[in-house]
Amino acid sequence: MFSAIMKNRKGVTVVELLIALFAIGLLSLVLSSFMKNSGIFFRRSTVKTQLSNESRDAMATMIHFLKEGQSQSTIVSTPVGGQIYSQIDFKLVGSNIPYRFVRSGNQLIMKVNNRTQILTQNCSSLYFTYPSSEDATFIQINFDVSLNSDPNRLEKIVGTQIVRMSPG
Amino acid sequence: MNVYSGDNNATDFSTWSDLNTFRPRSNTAALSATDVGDIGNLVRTGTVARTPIVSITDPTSHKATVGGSLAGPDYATISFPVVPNNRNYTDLAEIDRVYGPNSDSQGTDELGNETTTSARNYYWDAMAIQGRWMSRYSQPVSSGVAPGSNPQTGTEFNPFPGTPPFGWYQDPSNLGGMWPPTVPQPCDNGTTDPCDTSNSILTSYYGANPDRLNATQTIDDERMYYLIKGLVNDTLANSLVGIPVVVQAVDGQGKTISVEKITDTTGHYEVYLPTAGANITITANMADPNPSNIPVIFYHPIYVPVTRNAPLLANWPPPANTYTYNFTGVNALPFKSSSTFANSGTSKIKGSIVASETNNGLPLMIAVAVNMQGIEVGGAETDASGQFIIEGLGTGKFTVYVPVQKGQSVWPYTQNVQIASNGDVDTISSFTVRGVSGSLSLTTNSDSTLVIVSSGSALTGPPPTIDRTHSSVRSLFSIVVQKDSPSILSLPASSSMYYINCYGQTGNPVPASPETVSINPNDWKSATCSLP
Repeated sequence: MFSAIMKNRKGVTVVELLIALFAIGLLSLVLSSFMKNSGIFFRRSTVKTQLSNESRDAMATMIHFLKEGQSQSTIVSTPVGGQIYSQIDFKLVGSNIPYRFVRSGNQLIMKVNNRTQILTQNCSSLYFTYPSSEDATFIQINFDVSLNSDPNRLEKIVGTQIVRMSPG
Repeated sequence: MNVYSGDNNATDFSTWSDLNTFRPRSNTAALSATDVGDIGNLVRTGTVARTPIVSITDPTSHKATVGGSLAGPDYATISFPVVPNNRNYTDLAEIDRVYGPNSDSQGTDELGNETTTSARNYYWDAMAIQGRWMSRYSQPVSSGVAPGSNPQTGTEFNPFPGTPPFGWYQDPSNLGGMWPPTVPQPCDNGTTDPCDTSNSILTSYYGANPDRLNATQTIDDERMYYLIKGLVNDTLANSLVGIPVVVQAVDGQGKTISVEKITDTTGHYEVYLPTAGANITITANMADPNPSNIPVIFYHPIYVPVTRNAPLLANWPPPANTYTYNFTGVNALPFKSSSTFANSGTSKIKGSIVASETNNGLPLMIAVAVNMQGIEVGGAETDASGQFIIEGLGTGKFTVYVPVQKGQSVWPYTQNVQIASNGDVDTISSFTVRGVSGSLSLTTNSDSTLVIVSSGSALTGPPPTIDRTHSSVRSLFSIVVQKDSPSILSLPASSSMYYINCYGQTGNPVPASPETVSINPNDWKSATCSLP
């Protein structure tokens, strides 16, 4: 009986073939989507990590020097054509060397004397403010970095820190 | 402060440097209206040697006119020689001549008669400048005639410049330890003696409530005199009124001098005293430094103020100078911790608490009454209008105070009430609290929006550069707001409107659609920034 059945079979049916093709297509689609999302996730993670590192390093640098700065010598200003209050000038305690942090375009720049160092190329906002009208030794840094991980998505990290400068 | 007309210009005699400005800077220096300022538009009338250059012709207003003549007993002329002589223009002698009290032997009348250029030194026993009593060489001030002096001219030849003239007293009993010191009086209004009667127009420089300065007079080299002045602030830089400031110094005789002044209505104090270059200690808010002179302000024994000692000023260099020391962060310690209120009586104390920023009643503030042992015996919270009633009191003496929050100050510190009979209702005056604030909740439609809240007017362009000494630090309040959550900005309560200026990260730095908001004490208001 079994041999009779096999004798009557000419190959796979069209239905079976279609089912097989559909299954393969579906699997490919799933795999493709998975691969695509993995790529997006990877790119976003990479950008976020980069921004996070840049933000942390830039903020740490600003905090380090502002802590050593004399509040008496500090001036918060607006660079010509720049963002409001995105520039701070000060001198370190016991030093007459001028220090400056300023946003220029998307760059956060540190200037010491006439030497310039770019802390990040992805600065999207920078404000220096006095958070307390009663104690002008406090300076608040509001610092954003942002970068497109793809044409339609902007990754952004917002940082805020309050630094107490030296009263001198 | 200004005993003259006062136009608040640079030479309004509110500072010691103003007096220096007025003084001729050199033997040939010309006085200008700018130099002399408020003394009354003094104008130099000549450049010829020994020509009077200043005339005070209006004794009431102290206004000066050009030239002028001695037209009567109420008129005085002040002469500044413009030829070299041995006068020491670097000391304060010239100032004495200008402000010397107008009485016989020491007034401007004598100065008006002075036209000589011969070697002379003049020692006026005292002078009053804007409410201060300054001692130089002491002499009896009410006798009318100083030994060795000429009452008609007031001149005194002294062959030993820098030393007191012969016969002058070194420690006059009529000045030392008395308060208020007697302003030199006229002899008898000029009826029998040809003495100066112009002092009849002098009013007390010390006001109705003279401070508690115990005038300490001493003989000392005038180069050792110093003016110590400054400001007493609390932690919020609010000027503290009525705070005692004690300056201790050692004069040229080795005598310790301790002078106490009370800060004026602007929180300032000024002390003028001799010192011999030794250490000086300045203490603000000393606990009950002079208990025999309490009437001005009551200091409860347990209300122990914080004292701040200025740095000891070792080897203070002569010549005479001004030393400014500003006290900051002077606050009072709280009363003792409360105990169980003895709510057995039926007496009440009524009062109110207002905010100086708005002159409105301050809700949700506590007034506490303590008895003379320092034990809290009652307390009450203000209502919406700032009124409070402390109930359940018996009879006796009570002190009422307002415990303020950090950053606030209150005046008066305490008020005393004596309840004679049970059931009495006593009303005390208002407490005025400074440093109260409200809150402003800010939201925005754009990330990282800079919000600058300004008082008085809206900003029309980029906000000003700020540094720690800039008034903008205290008048502009800034915060960065993200669009996903509100930010809270604490603002001093004010009777003026605040303008909310919003700035985006890029673009024209002009604030977008400034809004206004009023902030009353304990307010909680909100505003939104709408950036294009």
